[in-house]
Amino acid sequence: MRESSSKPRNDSGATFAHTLVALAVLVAMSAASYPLASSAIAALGKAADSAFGASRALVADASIRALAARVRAPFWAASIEPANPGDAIEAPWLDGEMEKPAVIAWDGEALRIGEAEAAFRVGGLEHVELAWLEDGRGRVLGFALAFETGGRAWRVEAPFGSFPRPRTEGTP
Amino acid sequence: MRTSRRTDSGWIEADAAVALVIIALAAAGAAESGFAAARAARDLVARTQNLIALGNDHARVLVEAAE
Repeated sequence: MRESSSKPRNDSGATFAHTLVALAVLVAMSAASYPLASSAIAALGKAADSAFGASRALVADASIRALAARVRAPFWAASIEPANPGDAIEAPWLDGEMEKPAVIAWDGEALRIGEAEAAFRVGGLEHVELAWLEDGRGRVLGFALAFETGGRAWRVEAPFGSFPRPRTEGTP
Repeated sequence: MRTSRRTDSGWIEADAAVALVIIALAAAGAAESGFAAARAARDLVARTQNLIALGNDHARVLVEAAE
């Protein structure tokens, strides 16, 4: 027993001290890396939101432009008479048929884009405003939508596939 | 766990240093991947804004030509 007690005391003390130092260094490194890690995670979250928002805006943009391009009034039509039933805008002459309307509607949760019965839905949008794309004389020539998604405001101006003949002087 | 005998030879310091370096590299890699994703998302948003703005410019040109 005496021999073992005469063992240098540094052996056990050094281990404990080293453990303490290692723990202290680990704590210091964790504390130092926490702001970096938290900012990286926050940046990742914001990046995901922005990317999803941009993809939703792209889908909405492509759908609205594709629908507007299908609205083709014949050259002899005097004008495209729009309709605004509730939270929707309707334009006749979808696929060249006067009685077939192109509909864009907002029900508070999703934007419906397409025909009256078969519409494509785009969700995740906010503050949607439905309007018409008009020329200087007030003729309706397309859709104009404003919305927010992914923390950004977007505006889509989509012209119809064809425009009615512009009125000239003397035309009724 | 290291024994006290190996402590004397200095192995714990070396091992701890290696572990710390690995932890630091892993943290830096994770942070870098997060920031790279943020850059990619910003790039995607900028391209989307550019694309939609081009479409809107084209629409205005068509409307002006129709007047």
